[in-house]
Amino acid sequence: MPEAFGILTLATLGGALGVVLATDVVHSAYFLVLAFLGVAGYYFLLGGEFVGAVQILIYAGAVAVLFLFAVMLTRRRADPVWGRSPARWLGVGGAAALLAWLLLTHLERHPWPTKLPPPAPHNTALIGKALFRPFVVPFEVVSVLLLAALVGALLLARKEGGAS
Amino acid sequence: MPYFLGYTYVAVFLLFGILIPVGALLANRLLAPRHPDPEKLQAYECGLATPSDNTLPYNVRYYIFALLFVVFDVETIFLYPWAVAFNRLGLFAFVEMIVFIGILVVGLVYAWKKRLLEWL
Repeated sequence: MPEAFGILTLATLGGALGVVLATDVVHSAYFLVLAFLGVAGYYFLLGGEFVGAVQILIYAGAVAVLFLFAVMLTRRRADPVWGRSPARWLGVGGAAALLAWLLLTHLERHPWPTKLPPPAPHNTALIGKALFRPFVVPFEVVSVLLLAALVGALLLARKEGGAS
Repeated sequence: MPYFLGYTYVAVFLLFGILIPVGALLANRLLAPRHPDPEKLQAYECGLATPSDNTLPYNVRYYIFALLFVVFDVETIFLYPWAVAFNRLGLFAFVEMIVFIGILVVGLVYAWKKRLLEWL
């Protein structure tokens, strides 16, 4: 599926570029959703349907909503707008070049498999089985972790909001 | 490749989902007359004058709902593999999922009792 891979790469890289180049933070958040959706497409392409669904629901859904809300809550009109100053180009370009250099030097050394095994059919059901047979205790611990996150977040938000 | 064949439907839906709003906006741009003036460019033509643009800071209480949404979104994710494998898992998995949801309902009851779900 090289065509699908090409389209997804365009969406992912285009979204990532948009995040960096957009002058409005809200537009950056929207471009981030596009990049997240592109990555979700890669997961589907590899046969990881469940991971793809997680990527869409959690990252493109919930995390993006959190970003947008955080931006909307904190933004002021008086805030300086990130211009396209040479210093900014230099910083962004330098960071990108450093990251690319680190990744490429590592990718060269790593022996990557050139042929993927075919995705296991019905692998979402396999995950479900694994979740309730060998991993049932971690699964229940996750609910306690989520409860702790929920109560902690509510406490923090309430204190900062200063209401009741 | 029969596996990816199912995704052609997704691709068709995606294509139409993109084409319909883009087409609607494009048709509007091409067909409608455009004579902008400051009065028309306001967000609302009637009622009170708009105090500012959308950079107005929002109430922090919205964030509580966003946080609740994230937690229950993660909970929902665990329901998917459970639902897909449900007919092969038996009673044990059903009870385990009830316990899982029950623990999170405790958090919801906590938020409810602390009156965090009410708009003050």
